Amino acid sequence: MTDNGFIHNAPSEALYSLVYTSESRVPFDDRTLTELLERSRDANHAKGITGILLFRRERFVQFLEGPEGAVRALMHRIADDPRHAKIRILIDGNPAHRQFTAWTRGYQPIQEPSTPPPPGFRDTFDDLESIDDADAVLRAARELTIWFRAKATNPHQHSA
Amino acid sequence: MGVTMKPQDGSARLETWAQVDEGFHVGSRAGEFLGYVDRSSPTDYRAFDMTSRPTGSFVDLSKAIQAVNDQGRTGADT
Repeated sequence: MTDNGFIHNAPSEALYSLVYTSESRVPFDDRTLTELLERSRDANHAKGITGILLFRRERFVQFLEGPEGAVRALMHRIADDPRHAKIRILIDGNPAHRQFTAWTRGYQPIQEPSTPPPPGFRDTFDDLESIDDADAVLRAARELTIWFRAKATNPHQHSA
Repeated sequence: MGVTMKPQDGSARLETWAQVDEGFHVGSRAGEFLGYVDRSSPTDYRAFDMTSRPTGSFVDLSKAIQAVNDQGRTGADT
């Protein structure tokens, strides 16, 4: 399933991806989130699941992608996990290609901005929670993907 | 700061800009990714195009956003 660190689907199973948000029922910090990811990393890699996990304002935002059965099974386990509440699947579908081929559940800390967005700017996390605007949700998910890739490429870039 | 810009030819290609993280802004037009601006210091805003290639550094956010918007329009027109 892996080749030089990249994960490919078994030819018989379609690629499936989803994005969900949830509220944390227990306190998490960078250390406990890193521990959580380390525990699940090997298992997800073996199942061909990739994605990213973001944590902000006591909420998780997670992108998962991989063989459909494996991703759906993982989502069921997350839904049964008492640490998650108010789970909402924002996007799901069968994309042609992975967005996160080189990572397995990468984690990026994302800080609460010290200042609000400049006038006229949208807030990505507000858009992600849009109930009635599917376009805004899709756009926000893409913005987070771009942000994650940029930070993964330039981890020392700072915004201070 | 104005971030929704109407082109002079009267078409409806309006850009939408969002703040993802402190100093990190992503632009879209008509549902398509335009590029992003990443602040590396208070006076260095780095602009990237729709393929995430760097296109320049600017002293303020509005100039960096204008560069991304202009590049996107050029790309859309060619």
